[in-house]
Amino acid sequence: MSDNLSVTREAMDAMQIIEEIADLLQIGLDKETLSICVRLIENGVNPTPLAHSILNLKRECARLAASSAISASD
Amino acid sequence: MQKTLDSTGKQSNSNNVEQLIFRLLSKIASTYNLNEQVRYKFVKDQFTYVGKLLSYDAYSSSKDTLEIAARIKKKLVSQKKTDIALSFQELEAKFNKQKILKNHAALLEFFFAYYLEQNKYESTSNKNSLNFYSQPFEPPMVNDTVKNDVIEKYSSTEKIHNLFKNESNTDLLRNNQRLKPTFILNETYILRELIYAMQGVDGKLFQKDPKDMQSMVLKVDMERTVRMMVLRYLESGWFYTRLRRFLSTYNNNPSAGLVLQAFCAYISAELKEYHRLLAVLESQLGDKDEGTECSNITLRRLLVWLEQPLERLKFLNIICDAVRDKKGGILLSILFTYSKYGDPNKAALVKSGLAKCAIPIRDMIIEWICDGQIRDIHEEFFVGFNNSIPNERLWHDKYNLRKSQIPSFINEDQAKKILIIGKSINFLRVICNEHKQIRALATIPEIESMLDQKSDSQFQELIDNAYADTSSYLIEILLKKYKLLDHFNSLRRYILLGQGDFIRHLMDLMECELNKPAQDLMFPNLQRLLDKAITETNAQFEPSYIISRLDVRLLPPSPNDMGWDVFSLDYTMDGPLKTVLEVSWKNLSEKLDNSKDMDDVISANEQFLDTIISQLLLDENSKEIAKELRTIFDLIVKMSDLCEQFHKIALGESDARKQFKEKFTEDLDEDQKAAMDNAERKRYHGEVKPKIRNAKNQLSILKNSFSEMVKNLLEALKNHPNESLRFLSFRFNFNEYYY
Repeated sequence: MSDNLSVTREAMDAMQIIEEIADLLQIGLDKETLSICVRLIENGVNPTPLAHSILNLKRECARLAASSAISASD
Repeated sequence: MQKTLDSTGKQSNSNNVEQLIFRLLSKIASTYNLNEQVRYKFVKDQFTYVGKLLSYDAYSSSKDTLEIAARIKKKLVSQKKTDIALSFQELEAKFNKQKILKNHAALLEFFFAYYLEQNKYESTSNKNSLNFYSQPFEPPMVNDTVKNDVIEKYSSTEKIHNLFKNESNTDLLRNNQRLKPTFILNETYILRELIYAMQGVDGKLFQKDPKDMQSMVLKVDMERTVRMMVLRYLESGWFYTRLRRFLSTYNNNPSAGLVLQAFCAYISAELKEYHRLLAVLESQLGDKDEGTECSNITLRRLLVWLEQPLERLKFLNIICDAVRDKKGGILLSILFTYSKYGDPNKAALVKSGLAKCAIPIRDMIIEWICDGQIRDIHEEFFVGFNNSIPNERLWHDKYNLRKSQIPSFINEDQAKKILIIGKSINFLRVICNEHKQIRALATIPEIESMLDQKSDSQFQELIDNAYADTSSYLIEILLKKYKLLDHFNSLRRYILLGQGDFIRHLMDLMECELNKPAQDLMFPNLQRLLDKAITETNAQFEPSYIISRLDVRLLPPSPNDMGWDVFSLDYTMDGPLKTVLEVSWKNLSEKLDNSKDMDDVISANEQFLDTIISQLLLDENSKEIAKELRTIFDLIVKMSDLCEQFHKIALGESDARKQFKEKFTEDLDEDQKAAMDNAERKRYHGEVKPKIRNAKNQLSILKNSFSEMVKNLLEALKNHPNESLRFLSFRFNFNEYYY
């Protein structure tokens, strides 16, 4: 049980630092997205395509949101 | 936050990438205020693509943490954000101490890539001044209910799989086409797949062509440049499969010859080498589970490394095609031709194979020249034998050279010598009962000395020595133990009538016996007469082993034959002498001194035999002459008949005159005397004189035709190809009597 606790603490510390780095570099990702990315990378996903695809996804979403907003306003 | 990390801890080992991607998509979608329908479509569309992109998970970071950190700092400094770079350095030190993270470098890479891409994107979007791109990373308020909704709907892995399945092919295709430009396969992953493909093993990216099950085909579309390189690798997979197929056809196949099996062993050894190479490559590529992955090896670099092995593989395929279904010496000859290939690497490759394949033949040669044994169930050796030949014909017919099976690195002279060596050994063993081991081989010659005789004479020396030893031993045995010369001598005397007194005496003794009809001949009588002739002439001084061989033989008689027709004098041969069967003398004795092996003896013998036959007018050229000679002999016989007749006439006349004188006594009166005288005159002129005239006429006819025939004969002899027969013409006409 104490093992589990210490693991959790370590993970929290790691996540804390990762968030700080992300803030420093102005990576605009919220905590949850960031943690998902960390887990993906820890699972062996290639980081560069991941980064690129997240940006692409965000762009796509923004486009969709804009177009739906336009259609809604129409 | 804590909840997330907990689940990270629990699930870090499980394969939950798909689930994470799904969550990521939902999260991103939920941060924008999309309506449910659009959001659903977005997640559905993107999931396939992102999932595919990230599922090629064979990522390995070649860079270490320090290197990436340095690049990040450099980038920050170059953007004049020195203070951020300093803070980053502090954080980096802390970050590296986090033992719970496995992949520090990858995480940093993620940040770096994200940072770079985002900056680039911002700068372009600023140019375009699209206002909703200007701050895209400020997350809107998270709508918790929506988020939970989506996750609940799609969170289970099973549902995600269903999502995959329901996706129609056209959708997939559309997605792929749309996204192709950014669709980059991880190179290490391709390489790993290629290593399988190069061994003909199906993988995810490359599989055997179902049409021929040999060539490997691409299952995934790739960039053109990558595809060109990959096809080069796949070619080797095809070569590999072909070689494997060749091996499976002939290896351990009882109908394949020993040489072909040796060749298969050589090919397997080469393939083993190839496997080793691939194993080394695989270990170089590292193992992602152990975190030892390394991306130093690129497609292009590996192609250069593999250049030579692939060429070898290709060349081996060419050779395999050439030697298919061949065996023995033929196969070796083909390999030998290839070993003269211009490319020294390939020539060396074939040479090493040839050296291995020639071993069975080399061993056969050695066994043959040492023991005279042939163990060759596949008929690969260039010495063949026929077991059905009886031992008397052992030398001539039992063993033969298979010309086609002589490997091209052994010349015909050597092959003949090899044949003679083994044949001599067998001859000594079977016919002469000599079991002495003639030549115990001290060292087995190097295989190279057989293949490359110009640079190494070991093989040639072995053959020459064995040849000289065996042949001289055989001739010694023939001359000493079997007294070959004595037999030749006696044959000349008795069969070729050289010993005049014996033949004369024998013929005198047998004359009356042989004048009988052939059916009445008594064999024992003739034998007795032969013995008598021997004891009464010089023949009695011959050694008994020669005399005992002289025998009488009667040919099967036909109805009207006289004894002369069926009688023949026989010189009984057994053992080795039977092989040297007929004798020629004059050249023979000279040649025997020079002869090296038994074949020389035999050929000398045969040569002289030819001479004898031609000089006896028995060959084709002399048929005409023989005919004329026969006519002349007929004339002579007629002449002698005529003489006999004339002799009879003369005798009759003399008897008649004697009677006349007895009757014509003084006591007869004159009338009686006159009457008798008249009768006598009448008898003489009426009966005897015509007979004499007749004889005279016949004689003159005979004389004319005889001289005619003789002239013809002499003319024919003059033009005869045989020199000694031409001389015969001069000898007939030495006093120029005929013309």
